Parts: sequence; structure tokens; C-alpha cells
Amino acid sequence: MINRRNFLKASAASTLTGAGALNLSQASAFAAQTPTDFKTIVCVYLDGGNDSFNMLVPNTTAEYNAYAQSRQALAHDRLALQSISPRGLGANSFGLHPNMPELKNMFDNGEASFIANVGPLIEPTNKADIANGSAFLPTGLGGHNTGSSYWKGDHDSTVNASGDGIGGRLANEFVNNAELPMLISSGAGYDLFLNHAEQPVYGISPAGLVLMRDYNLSQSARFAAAPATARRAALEKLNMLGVNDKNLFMQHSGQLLSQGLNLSLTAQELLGGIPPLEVEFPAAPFTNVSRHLRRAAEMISIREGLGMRRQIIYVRATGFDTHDALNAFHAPAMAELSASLAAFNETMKQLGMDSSVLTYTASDFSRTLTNTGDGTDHAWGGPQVLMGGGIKGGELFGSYPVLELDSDDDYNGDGRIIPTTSVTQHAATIAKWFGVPQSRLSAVVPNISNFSGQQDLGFFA
Amino acid sequence: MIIKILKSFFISTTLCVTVIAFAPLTHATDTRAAGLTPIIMLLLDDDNEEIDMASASRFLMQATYGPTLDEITALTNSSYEKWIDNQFSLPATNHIEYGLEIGHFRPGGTIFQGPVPGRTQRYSVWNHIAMNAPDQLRQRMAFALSQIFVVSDRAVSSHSIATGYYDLLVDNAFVSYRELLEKVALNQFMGRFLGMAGNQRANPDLNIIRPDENFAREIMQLFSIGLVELELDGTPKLDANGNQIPTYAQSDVEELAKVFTGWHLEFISDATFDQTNRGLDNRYLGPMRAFANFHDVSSKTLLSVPGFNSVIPPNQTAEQELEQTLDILANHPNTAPFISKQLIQRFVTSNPTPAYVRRISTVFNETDGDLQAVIKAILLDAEARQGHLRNPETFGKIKEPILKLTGFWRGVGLLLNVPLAGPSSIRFEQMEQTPLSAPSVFNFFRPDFSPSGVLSQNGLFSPESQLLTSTSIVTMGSTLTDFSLISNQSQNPNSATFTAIATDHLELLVPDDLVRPEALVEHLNIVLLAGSMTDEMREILLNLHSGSDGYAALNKLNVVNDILYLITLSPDFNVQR
Repeated sequence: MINRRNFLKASAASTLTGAGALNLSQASAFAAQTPTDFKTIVCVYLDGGNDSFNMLVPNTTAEYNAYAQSRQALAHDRLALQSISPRGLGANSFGLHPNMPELKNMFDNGEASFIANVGPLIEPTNKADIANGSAFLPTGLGGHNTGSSYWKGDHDSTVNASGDGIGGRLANEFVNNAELPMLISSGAGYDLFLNHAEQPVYGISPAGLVLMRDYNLSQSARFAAAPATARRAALEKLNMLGVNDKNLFMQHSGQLLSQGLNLSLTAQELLGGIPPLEVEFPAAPFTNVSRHLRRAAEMISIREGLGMRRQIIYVRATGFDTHDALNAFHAPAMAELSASLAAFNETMKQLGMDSSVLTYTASDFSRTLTNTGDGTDHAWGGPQVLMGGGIKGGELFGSYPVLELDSDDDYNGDGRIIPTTSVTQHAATIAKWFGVPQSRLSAVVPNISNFSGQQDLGFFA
Repeated sequence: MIIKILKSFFISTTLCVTVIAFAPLTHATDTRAAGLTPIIMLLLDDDNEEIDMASASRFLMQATYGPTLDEITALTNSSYEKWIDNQFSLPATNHIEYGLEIGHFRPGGTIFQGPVPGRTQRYSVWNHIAMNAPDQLRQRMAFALSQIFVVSDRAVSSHSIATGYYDLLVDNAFVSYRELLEKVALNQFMGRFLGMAGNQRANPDLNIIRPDENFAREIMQLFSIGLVELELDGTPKLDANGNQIPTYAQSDVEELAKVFTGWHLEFISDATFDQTNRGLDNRYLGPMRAFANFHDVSSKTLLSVPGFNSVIPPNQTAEQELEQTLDILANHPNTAPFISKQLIQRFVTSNPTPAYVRRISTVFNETDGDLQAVIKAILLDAEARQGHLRNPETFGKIKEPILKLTGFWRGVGLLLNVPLAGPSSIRFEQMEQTPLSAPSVFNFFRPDFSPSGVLSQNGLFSPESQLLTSTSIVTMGSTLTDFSLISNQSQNPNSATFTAIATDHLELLVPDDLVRPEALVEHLNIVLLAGSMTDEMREILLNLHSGSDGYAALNKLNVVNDILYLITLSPDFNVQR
């Protein structure tokens, strides 16, 4: 069994392979693939820690009663649940949040599934090992950055100098011959998930595609003297001065600006005429998830025209850190997530892309089953959504925990559920579907060797 | 010719040396180069050597919202230390008072009795103060503190209380860390944001199983000690196996959560304490107050800090427990390096050397966390003043969007129109960063973020890069010129954001033949780039209008626009060194 020290060193080593010239020589030691098919992954990050045991609820009598006993006033009325019947687990054995009828429909139609209980783990872990001190646990368990470091980067939060992400590493495995980057961020800037890529990140904004403001292209042309071509040529020279400066921040800025200048011009040419989407996306004032997914759908709709055979899209939905007034936020948030995912899924179906676009939710952690008045605290494992991508729909993957306080699934009596599936396995399964061969899996998901028992969760058909 | 009195930092203040020096108008020159005797080095290696325009601008880029020609000129006739001391003596510019004074905030509405700003008004007042307030160092310190003690209007949407919180940071920018920590902990906006307001002891009858851990966790992780044990120089301590050492465990969070029980907003009573609607009331900007009936009075065991009692006996009041707890956090060995390093990152450089952090942490500890002494030490430190010469490859930071905006406006000499020009006056949205509006308590960026490319390959942090995709950096840069100048010029002067005289003084620097505007470029080099412009860059700018046959609308104003456009999209403007 790997110990934590080895794990940390292994992670640090994987960081060092990203260093300078070393990286370039090592990167050239393997040939990045040029795929022939089209695939897109969309990570919908529920920022702050989604209270996911109120998103997917047990609906058999004993299990529901344990849930209701633990959650007390936060428990859903059993009759209000959107009842589902995961394959092999019995009719109406689970229920979704009452505000998620669209997600229920997709689940029933075999277009969506759930992972039952996934979270950050260094190695397979159980309560007995935690109690006797033999389990190696993620540093700072329960912290936002701990959860997000694993979900976004498959590394411990103490390995923070690397700051590299699964999406970024995944991108490095593929050749992108399109003129726009395959890494796309909506509403999240240069997120950790996308970091460590050798190609730039294309930032899109919910307000519209982000283009360079070039005043010669606007009605304000009369305020410029030099023509746009002369100004751009001068800018490119200035950027090259930065790239060649001895200061590393200057080099970084020069590269970023140079990439951005080229991207902006390309985007103006390529993205100006995106056909409007037919599906109407819902309003989502609580989480903003709808606007981001709509922009993601637009970028996917033109992927073939752009020759973009792989896309990695990161979407951030905000507000999930519900320490207070949980239901006032979470009920509309779940409604927004459900309706927005459905609009996105419908768009993908219309485009004939539903089986080649995998959408999944991720979140810092789930929340305590017990409450602190009208909210819940940071916990650990919990359910997550899978949609599209040709997954096996209508299933619940992994083991759903017993939601009873102090059960073998409960870390400390407050209802902090120990994950039975690791984010590492989750990421590795997706990476394999995306086309990463077994020999390269640990380059993308460095911790996967700790889960040699089951590297693939089997949720793809 | 300028006569200066040099007063050594190291020698008794009565010992003075008089030096006559020429103040260079443009290029930065380093007089501390080789060839000087050690004793002269000592004399010159303080903050009082003669200051040229470029060095003055460079200092003001670190210490203010952006150098202005007037401030630069004044500083060349003074010293860094005098400038700092003068800043300490200036009265605080209060955002609420300022908002009321210029008519952006309404005093008392029909529902609320307090000042009533909306989002637009709050941002506009912030802009005005960043642009115009004399107490620049205090305001910059408040901005830095707002990125350590983070609250966000995305979670709590009262702009009165948000402004009150910002004023708390302004008013307490130069007190002790311990005093500030207490004021932050008891602030209503913070109480609402991280759930300490209304947090109560476990009460199974009311289905409250245990106290809320949110504030307890974040005050340790983000506001005081951080996740892992640190050396005085800010580097992680390692155990015998080479592992980092966590500062606290989940059980510590749970103990601390019990301490922070029994506090609520000023206008709450025992009868209303338990109401789930924990609204805010604009009338009250004061601290939260304690409610004994809701406080957990059990014994608690806190983190062990030498010299402090880590056990809280039973039956203490909420106030007593708060005092004991904050003393422990403020005096934890991690706090000095954890806070000092982040302040260095906000003002000076993303990757301070461990020696620099150690020097500042030492000041922090020796002054009981006196933030005035700390910020002074940060700005006067040899690494702040000479890091670009000593470590030219690694020194500096990417400018965060807000500081690009204010630096551009102040440097160019734009004057904001006092009347609120409507939502179009607020450019923060395009810059993807607004004061007190981070996505979460983890701020706009993490102190240890390292973007892919040359920075991560060389193991360097660049927190601000977390906001920047290659597309957004270009959008932001071009927004500065397009929105600040072009859109403004195209508007009716009465509704324009900035006064019409904004760029008049810059047009005067353009030669009549409109080509090679050397005076303009040199001026912008000083106010926008702290004199860092290379000859190559200068030539690129000067040559833009040289082959100008067929150029449209070639006039002085448009030459100014073009040059500003190139500068704001240059790497030099995007980096502070």
C-alpha cells in the first residue's frame, strides 16, 4: 500500500516533469494523439460544496427513515421526491430533489446516471482504518481547497506549487489542429482544472463571446489614427519583447497577450456567425449555470466546423456553500441545475452530439447530514451527476452509503460520509473514454495507481 | 537641481549627510552600483537617497492606486520614509461619508434609515476614492486586507453593510493585526457571510445538532494561520518523514465552532435570535453583540500556542472566549509569516525570498502585529526597492485587473465626473474583478496559484494569473483605452464618465507633424510603466505613425489614443516590477 509520503513525492515528481526544458524533452518522448472522432467533456463545477444528499435521496422505507432522522428539518418530504428506479436496485428505490423533474426524465430515458458516493481519497479508505490511524487521508479534509484540489487536479492541497489540473493534463494528450484552443472556460478565469496545459485557455463569458475591443472595428473608428493592421503589428512586436525579456512575468505576459491577440482575431472570424440555438435555456439567477451551459453549447455546436476534435469545457456554477438558509438557495439551485442540464442535453440531441459530449457535475464536497440550524457544514463524499457521452443511463454507480449517524459510512458522527469511490477513479474513467490509453493514464490522473483494484468505474457503455 | 538631506535609516536621526544630486528626468539609474565604499553603501542603502522620476513612480506603483505626475514629482523632493509617514498622518477617507457627500448615497430611505447605496453607487464611490483620495496607502492597505479577510457581495447583497465593512478595513488599516482580527470577526457583514451571526450552541430540541463550523474553519485557514505549519520565513515546516504538518484537525474546527456561538446582529433580540431570516439592517453598521442564552459554555480545548492557555474553562462568556481565542490565533507562530507573505504579494512581488518574508515576519512579531510597522517594512525593504535589480528574472507580479484600471486612470490623469454617470461609468465588469465581490471567501485568486507556462516551469507563484485567460487579458487591456477614452470621447460631455479635459494635457505632448511623439511616450513611460520602457519598445511606439500615408483621422487626440492602446496591451503595462 502506498503511504502518504510516497504519494506526495509522486505528486511532486509529476510536477517537476513540467519544469522548463525538461518538460519539453519529456513531452516529446510520447506522441500526443491526433484523434479522428469528436469528443467533448463538460465539467459543471458546483462551487462551494453541493448538499448532494438532498439531491439524490434513498426512497426505500428503512433507508429513507435513516435519512430523515439524520437530516431532520432539512429532509425532503418523501412524497415530494422525484422517484427513480436505478437499474438493478428496485423500483422507486431512490428519489431526486423535488425540483428536479427534468433530471428524473433524463434518468428515466437512459440519458443520465449518478455516481453514488464519490469524493477525494488518497487510497481506498474505511472507517476502521481511519479509527486505528492506518488510513492516509487528504490534508485539510473538509477545506474547500482540499476538495477542489482533488476534483480539479487529483492532487493533495499541500502540493499546491504545481497547481495543475486534470483538464489541462488531459489536453496535453491530444493534438489540436483547430485555430481555437480546446480548453474553454466559462465564468471561471484560468481555473485550476484547466491549468498545466501547453496550449492556451479560451475564456468565454456568459454575457457573450469575449472579443478584443478594437476601436477600429467599432463605430469609434474615427478615434484612431493608425489602421488596425499597423497597430496589431506593433502589438505583436511588443509582445515578442516581453517573450524575450529576462523577467519571467514579462515572458508570461508576452505569451498570454500574443496568444490572446491571435485568438481574438481568429474568434472574430470564426465565431461571428454561430447559428442561434433552438432550445431555450432557463433563467438561473441563483447559480448562473444556465448562461454558462448555453455558451458551452454554442462552442460545441461549431466544433466540427472548427475541426476541434477534442474539447474540455469548464463551467462554474456558484453559491453552493450553504452554511445558512440552505433551502432558500438549494431548492432553486437544484431547479436551475436540472432545467439547465435538460436544455443542454436537448441541444446536444438536436445537434446529434449527445453521445459524444459527456457532462458531469463536481463539487468541493458534499455536506454534513446534520445541520446547524438552517444550514450544513463541509463534509466529504456524495452523489454526482453523469449525463450524455454514451454512458449507461438510468444507473447508480458505486455504493450508496447508509445515511445514519455514526454508521460505518460516517466519518465522525456528524454525517460526514466517507467516499466509497474516489475522484481519481472518476477522472480516470472519463480520461479513458476521452481516448487516453492505459499507458498514459497516470500522466493524466497521477493517483490512479493507488486504486489498481478498480481503475474504471464502468459507467460508459 | 535638487538639494536633499539624507537621513540614515541605520544611524541616529541626528546624524545628517547632505548630498547634492541631479534628479534624472527619465531613465531609472541605480546609484547603488559597484564602486562605492561600504560606509557610503550603508548611507545610500536606505530609503533616503535621491529619488529619480522612475524610481518614484515605481515606488508609487507599489504603494498607491497608481502613480500620478504630481505625486511622482513630490516624491522626488522627499523620501520614501517621509512619504510613508505622511501617509500615516492623513485622515482616513471614509466611503460612507464620501458617498453621502458627493450624493451617490442617499441618507435614509423610506424603509431604511441608513445610507442607501446600490451596487453601482458603491463601486462608483470606490472608484472616486481610489482615483482622488490623498490617503492612498491606507486605501491600498484596505484593498489588500479585503483580499485576505474576504467578504463578498455575491453572497450578501447589502451595499450599505458592504461599504461599512470596507470602511472598517480603511479605518483599521494601520492598527494591530489582533485588533483588526477582532473587528473583522465581529463585523455584521462578516457575521452574515461566514455564518457567525446567529450561530448557536447545539440544541437538539431545536434540531440544531452542533454549531456552524464555517467561520471557525476560515478564520484559521484564511485569516490567521493557514493549513500547514510554517517557518518564520514562510516556507512549510516538514516532519521527520519530510511531510508537511497540518496546523489543525477537524476536531479543532469543531471546538472553535463552539467558541463562536451566541453572537448576532445588533438589532436582534433573544426572541428573534433563532429566526432563520438573518437579514441585515442598513441602520446598523456596528459590531455584532453577544447573547448569553445562545452561547456554548462547555469547556473547550483550542490550539496549543506557547505562552497562551489553550483550555477554555466552562461557563465563560462569549466575549471572554473570543478574547482568549483571538489571542491564540494572533500569537500562533504561523500568523506572522502567513499574513506577512500575503501582504508582500499584494504590494510588491508574488515570490518574495524567504529572507524578505523572515524580515517582515520579524517586524510583525516584534511589534505585536502592528500593521503600520509591517507595511512600512514591506515597502522600505531592500527587496522591495531593489528586487528588480537583484532578482530581475523572478521579481514582480502580474497586475490584477483593478490595479490596471486605477493605474491607467490615475497615470493618464483622467478626472472622474462627480455626478454618477450611470452604470456605464463602472468598468469593473469588463475587468472581471470588483472590490468586495470575489466568487468566494477564497478571494479572486489563491496566493499559491501558478499558471502553466514559464512561471510554473520555474516554480513561481502568480496569484493574479488565476483571473487571466489569454483572451481576457487582451479584452481587459483594450477595454482600458476603448471604454475609458474612446467611448468617453464619443459621448456628450455632460453625460461622459470623465471630464472633457482628460486628455488635453496629453495632446499637448504630440508634435505638430504628428509623428514620433517623443515627449508623449516619455511621459507615459514614467506614469504608466515606472520608467521601465526599453529602447526597443520606445522605437515601436514612435514608429507607429511614421509611415502615415493614408492614415485615417490623423490628429493629436488620435495619436494619443493609439499610443495608449499599445501601452495598455503591452507586457510592460501588465507587469509590476
